[in-house]
Parts: sequence; structure tokens; C-alpha cells
Amino acid sequence: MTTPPPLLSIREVSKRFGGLSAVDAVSFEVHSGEIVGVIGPNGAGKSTLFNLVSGLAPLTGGDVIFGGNDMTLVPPHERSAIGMTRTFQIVRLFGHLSVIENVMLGGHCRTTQGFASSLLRLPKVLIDDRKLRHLAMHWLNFVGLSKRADEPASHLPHGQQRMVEIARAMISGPKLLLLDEPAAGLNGAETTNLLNILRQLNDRGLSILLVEHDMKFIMGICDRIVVLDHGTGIAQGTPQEIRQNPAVIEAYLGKRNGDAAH
Amino acid sequence: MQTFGILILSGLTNGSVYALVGLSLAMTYGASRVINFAQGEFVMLGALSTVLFVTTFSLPMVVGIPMVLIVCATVGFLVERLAYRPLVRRGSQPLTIMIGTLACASIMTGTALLIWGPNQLFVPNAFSLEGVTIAGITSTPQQLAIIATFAFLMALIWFMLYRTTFGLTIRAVGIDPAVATLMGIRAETIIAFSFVFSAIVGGLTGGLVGPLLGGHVSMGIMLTIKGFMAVILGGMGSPFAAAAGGIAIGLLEATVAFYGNSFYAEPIIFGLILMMLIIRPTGLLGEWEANRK
Amino acid sequence: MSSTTLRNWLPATVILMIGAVLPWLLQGNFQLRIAMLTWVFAIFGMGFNLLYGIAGQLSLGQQAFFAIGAYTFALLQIHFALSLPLALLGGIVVCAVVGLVIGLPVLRLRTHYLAMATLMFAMIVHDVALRWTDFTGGTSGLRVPPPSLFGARLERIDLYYLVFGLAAAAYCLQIFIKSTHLGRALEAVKTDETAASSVGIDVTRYKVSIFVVAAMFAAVAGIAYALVSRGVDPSYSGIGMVVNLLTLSVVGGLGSRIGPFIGAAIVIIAPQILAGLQEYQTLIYGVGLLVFMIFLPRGIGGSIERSAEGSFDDPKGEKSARRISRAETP
Ligand SMILES: Nc1ncnc2c1ncn2[C@@H]1O[C@H](COP(=O)(O)OP(=O)(O)OP(=O)(O)O)[C@@H](O)[C@H]1O
Ligand SMILES: [Mg+2]
Repeated sequence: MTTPPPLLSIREVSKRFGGLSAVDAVSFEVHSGEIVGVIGPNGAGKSTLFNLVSGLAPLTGGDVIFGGNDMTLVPPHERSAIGMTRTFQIVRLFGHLSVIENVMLGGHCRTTQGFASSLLRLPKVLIDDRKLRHLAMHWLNFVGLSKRADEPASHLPHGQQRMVEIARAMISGPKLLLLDEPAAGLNGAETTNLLNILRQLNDRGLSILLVEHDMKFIMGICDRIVVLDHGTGIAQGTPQEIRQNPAVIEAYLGKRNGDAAH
Repeated sequence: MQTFGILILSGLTNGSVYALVGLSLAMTYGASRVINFAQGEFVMLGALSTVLFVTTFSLPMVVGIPMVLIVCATVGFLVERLAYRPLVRRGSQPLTIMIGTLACASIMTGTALLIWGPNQLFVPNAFSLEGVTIAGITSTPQQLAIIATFAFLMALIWFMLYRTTFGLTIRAVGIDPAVATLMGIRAETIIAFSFVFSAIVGGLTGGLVGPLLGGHVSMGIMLTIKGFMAVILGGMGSPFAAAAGGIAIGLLEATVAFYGNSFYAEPIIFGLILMMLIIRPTGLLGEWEANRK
Repeated sequence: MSSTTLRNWLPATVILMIGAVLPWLLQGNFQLRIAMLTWVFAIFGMGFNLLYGIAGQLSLGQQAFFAIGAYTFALLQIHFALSLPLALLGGIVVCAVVGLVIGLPVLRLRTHYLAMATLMFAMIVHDVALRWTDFTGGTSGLRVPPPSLFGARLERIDLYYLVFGLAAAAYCLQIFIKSTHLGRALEAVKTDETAASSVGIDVTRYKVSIFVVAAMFAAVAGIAYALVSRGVDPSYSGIGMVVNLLTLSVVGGLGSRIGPFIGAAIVIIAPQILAGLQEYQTLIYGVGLLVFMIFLPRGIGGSIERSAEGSFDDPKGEKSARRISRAETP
């Protein structure tokens, strides 16, 4: 039996900041249609790993292969067009643009690039703009925020800003969505809503790589989980396997329990 | 050898002036995270109010110079109180505040124009302008006084910043005003002090260099820019790096003027510093300074 | 949608009408000259507004492009006997190329560093204008030949409509950039470069492009200024010019569509009305700049747009009340 090549494969990826090894020779794969979770204690290197995958920080070693292509030389702004988008641990919206403008920016890679070419193709630019607005409205509808489309993004409460960020990431039609702690700061109802939205997207074939501290959330949604500690991958497997892995319990879950005890 | 000495001396004189402007800029920047575009105007104010007190009012130098310093301190205080502080309080961005200090520079030039007019004025000298020849190199006491003042101020600032509790609070505010405030340091007072102190340094520089350069209402902006170049060369990190940058620019200027065409010295140096800024935005001494801390 | 269109084109119509009838309302060459200078500085302001007000890149060197455009325009006419339209085009192209060559390295810098680097670039241009006497005419500058178009001498009134036409074209270009994906991308670059690049915006390319566009606006303004003043001199690239630019931009309102027109009108006309106060100009500009920054940071144009916006989108005024608290543009 031959398995299809993975959508994303991370091979021996490393990042050093001066003397600190934030990510140290981490390898794992994400297959099409999978939801993979990355867990680990604070400072384990999860966000750094995401920055490496999305190209915001240069690699110190290893390779990131996406859809069969080496991503080392692909600048971050070209990755959304290739099918990889992300959200941030701390929501990063363009605060004084409106909600819908924020979402439209996510589809920027689909618009005519450059000043001169835009000017020369004015009618096309205007038509594209209308289409993009339409599409943005569709995604706002999907996350349940179409009513707030024209408000400045900074006026929305945190939970809704998170949803706008997801809509902004989805509008470019990614194959892989990277979510850095999407449930952080959400209340119970918002977390359930987020879970539903992610399941729906996954049902449509989207692959998701996510970091999360909320154990119930991650155990409930992920097909596989990768555990980082001090920059190294100490385990990976199904939620079931991870729950029973002694190294993980020692390094991570044990500490968590200890935290919860006091 | 003799030409070399003359070159070094003239480079050191101008360099000291740039260094003093640069170090004032770095000090204000350190405390307030704002580049004070009015810094060079304090040199102008120093030079021209020396004319006012000593020539126009015929006050003796020992009375005149303190008066000059009082005027500069007052104006520095006003810049902080009427421009910097209101802008910070209404949450302006650092660049907006920088434009605010440019407005202050314009106000100072505009006012000086009304008082002293557009012509170059002779600034009375505190020290003799008679040549003294030491080891074949001719200098003037005025020139030497500038270099000496520079050295003295460097020592004073070093002592203040690194050997007093007050200096510690200044450095703390520079690192993080919010944390410093939590620790009970009055950040606003420290920032006000940095403005007033820089204004006094500017005034003193003006009084000393005026007799050599001549006093002119529009001399400030060029000195501000040279001061910036000093800061760029040394890196924003510390007043001492900025001062070293200033000396380097003075020496470079003297060398270019001597071996090349003095007419084109200025654009050439601008070009060199611009290139250097693009290649190494942290300044030549930037990393060294950063590592030292 | 329609409110956006209205917001863009209502001021355009008003400006167009004012501009078209102005010559009939004004008396004498002096007043006509003031009107032309207003258009000139509105163009200059629009370029800066795009660069700093929208894209957040502070350049203190726009006066360099103002001067390079004007000197190129004059030199092409003097040495190569080029016609007015070709010399105009030449001035713009030269500025675009210089803007690209300077912008590429300089825009790697941010905030204070960018401001200083562009100011130093302008100082170099100013020094060259002053010192390279054979080429630039030194302090006295160069004279621009009397303007003519297709063989016909341009009268004062024709010149007015030429300058006004340039301003109208610049306004349309500004609106185009502001209200399409270009403007959105530039706003994103201003707010958060990292997030911008992760949504697919080529940050460097956008910064350099808008720098070049602003350089071209400055070139057009400089050329128009040279036409109106019948010559170019080093004051074009002087520090006074950038103070004028900052004052008119802040008074009019950074990021506002109509701001550059309002700012230019006030900054140009005020010193003329206060006749005999010419020597107070530097002082007044400085005070004006500071007072506006502290008390009306959106400028006049921004404040007008704000209150109008409320009545366009939201008759109840609910939203505009909420928007007051919105963060200030830099
Ligand atoms: N730009 C940087 N420069 C230096 N060190 C950094 C940098 N970014 C991250 N680090 C360090 O790398 C390590 C990993 O950080 P990272 O943010 O990836 O952790 P994390 O797993 O996302 O933690 P958290 O759960 O708190 O979000 C930390 O020790 C952090 O201090
Ligand atoms: Mg993290």
C-alpha cells in the first residue's frame, strides 16, 4: 500500500537565538485532511516552530517541505498564495481598518499586484474588488460576524477578533491552516463555536496544524499530537497514545497536574 | 607631522561640537525615545544670546554666560512642557512627537529671526583668539576651551549616569518608563531633566563655538543634522557612543576638506554617513555598546 | 459602497467646481498666483499624505524630489530644447528613477532612521544645487523658459488651468490608491509589517512603490512651482520646504483625502493675508504645526471627514460617537 506524500513535512528543523536552542531538530508530518496538534509547556518553542513554518523567522537548520516543494527560499508573503496561512498567538488584526477590509486583505494574493499594473487594468481591479468583498462577506457569514463587517476591527471583543483572524486566513483558500493558540482567552461558548468551525473546515478537506494549551480542546479535535519540550520533540501519536506516554506525563502533563494542584 | 597635528586639532574642535550635540540628542532619546529636532537650535540660542548679554547689554563674560545658560534651560523646559508633554499625554506616536520638536525648532528660529535678524553676528569670545603655538601647532585658547569643555562634560555625564543613584534612575527610565514608574521613579521629571540638561549643554556649546563659527539664526538645523550623524555613527544606544561618532565626523570632515575639495566636503560626508546608515543601522559602535551592557 | 463613492467623489466635485470658476472670482495676477500655488502645494501634500498618512513611512526628504523634478524640467528645456510636456514627463521619470534607487536601500530603515536618512539625502541634493554652479546656477538658480504648448504661448490663465489639471489628476490618482486594494495593503503595512506579510503582502515592494509614487507627486509639484515662479533655485530643496510640507499636511490632516487641499490653501494664503508679517512666517508655521498636533491631530480635513462620515454611514450618529476613541494615525 502506498500512502500519498504528506502535505507538510518538517525535517530536523532547528532555530537558535544566540545560545538558546528554541527549536532543536524537530521532525513530523501533516497529511492532507489531518488535524495535528502541537503541545508543550510555556517556552517549549511552539510559536517559534510556527514562525519557521510560515517563514516569518529564518531556519537555522533543517527543511520545511510543503506540497512537495522546499519552502526555504519562499518569502512569507508568497506562502498564502501557495496555500498556507496562519493566525497569531496574540490576535494581529489591522485595528483601524474595518472588519471586512481585514478579511479582504487575506485575499490580497488574489488581487492584481503592483501599482502600475493596477492602474492600467482599472476596470478589472474594480470588479475584482467587488468579488473580493463578496467573498469576504461569505467568510464573515461563516464565522457569524457579517453584521459587524463595517466596524473598525479594534472595536470587536477579543473572541470575535479571533474569528475575524480565522476568516482572514481562510479567504485565500488555504490547504493548510496554522493556528497558534486559537482558543486562548475564549469563553466556553466561544470555544465550542471555534471547535464547530474547525470541524466544518476539516470536513471540507482543510488540514490544520494547531498549538493549544487547552487539553480538552486538543484531545477532542486532533488526529495526531506532537509534543515539544525545551525545543525538542519528545513524542508524537494519537491523543490516546499521548495520554498514556510516560515521557509526556513526566515532562508535560505531570507538570500541568502539579500546576493545577496548587 | 605638523599638518597632521593641525588636521587633528581642527577635527577635534568641530568634532567636539558635533559630539556635544550628538550626546545631548542621545541623552534625550535615551530618556524619552524621541529625537529632539530642536537640539541644534539651543546651540544657536547659546551663541546669539551671548551676543545679547555680552555685546548688547555689555555684561561681563562671567555674568553673561550664566545668563545664557539660564535662558537655554528655560527654553528647554518650555519645549518639554509645551510640546513634548502635551503630545505624550494625548498618546501621540514617537514620530509625531519628533515632528513636534521640529515645530519647536521652527518656532525658535522664527523668534530668533525677529530678535537678531537674518545676518551673521560676531559672537564675543570668552577666551583669547590669539594664536598659541605648542610643538609647532598653532591653536587658540578658545579652540582648546571647546575641547576641554567637551572632555569635562563627558566625565561629568559619565559620573552622573554610572556613579549616582540619580543616574541609575535616568537609565531605568530609558529602559522601560512604565516599570520605572512602578518602582517609584518619576519618569516625567527625569524626561524634563534630560530636556533641560541637553538645552544647557547646547547653550554652553553655542557660547563657546560662536566666536569661531559666527552666530546665525539658521545655524541650528545643520548642527542638529551633524549631531544626528554622530548618533548614527555611534548608534543610538549611549551618549558616549554618540560623542565618539561626533569626534569621528569632525576628523573625517577635516581630512576630506584637507586632502579633497573643502567645497564638496559636506555632501561627501553626508553621502558616506547615509551609506553607513543603510549598511549598519545600529551604528559602528552599536553592537559593541549592546554587548557591553 | 455608495457612501464610499460619495465620500470620494463629493469632495472631488466640489474641488473641481471651485477650481474651474476660481479665475473669474479672483482679481489680478497676484491672486491667480496664490491660487496656483495652492494647487501646487496640494499636489506636494497629496504625495506626502500617501507616503506618511497612509503607508506610515516618514520621509523628511520629499523636498529633494520637488527640487530634482524642477531642475530636470528646467535643464531639459534649456539644454535640449524639449517641449513643455516632454520636459514635464522627463522630470517625473527622473524622480521616479531616483526614488527607486534611493528608496530600495533606505526603506530597509524604519521610523527615526528612515526620517533621518531621507533628510540626509535631501541635504545632499541641496548641497549639489548650491555648489554645482555650472549645472544648477548656484544660489541664483535657473530660469524656466516662458511656457508654451504646441507652439502657442501659454497665458497666465492657461497656466492656471494646466496647474489645476495636474492637481485634479493627482487627486484622482490619490483616490484610486486609497480606495482599492493598494490602499488597504498600505494601511496594513503601516499597522503591522509582520501580519501584513503573513496575509500575502510584499511589504518591501509596497513601501518602495509608494515611495516612488510620492517622489513623482513631488516632481509634478516642483515642476508646477517652477512654471509658476518662472525659475528654480536651491530653496526648493531647503529645510523650509519640508517645514511647509509638514505644516500643510498636519493642518490639513494626515491620511485625509481633502486635507492636502485645505492645508495648502491655509498655509499658502495665511502668510499673504497677514501682509507685512512675512518675517513672522517661520514662527507662525512652527506655532501652527504644534498647535494643530496637540489640539486637532486629525487636522481640519480629517475632522470634517469624520463628522461627514458619521452622517453618510450611520444616520443615528451612533457609530461616529464610538469612533472618536479610535487610535490616532501617526
Ligand atoms: N525573537 C526571539 N529572540 C530570542 N529568543 C526568543 C525569541 N523568540 C522566542 N525566543 C525564546 O525561544 C523560546 C521558545 O519560545 P516560544 O515563543 O516559541 O515558546 P512557546 O512554546 O510558544 O511558549 P508559549 O506557550 O508561552 O507561547 C523561549 O525561551 C523564548 O524566550
Ligand atoms: Mg507561543
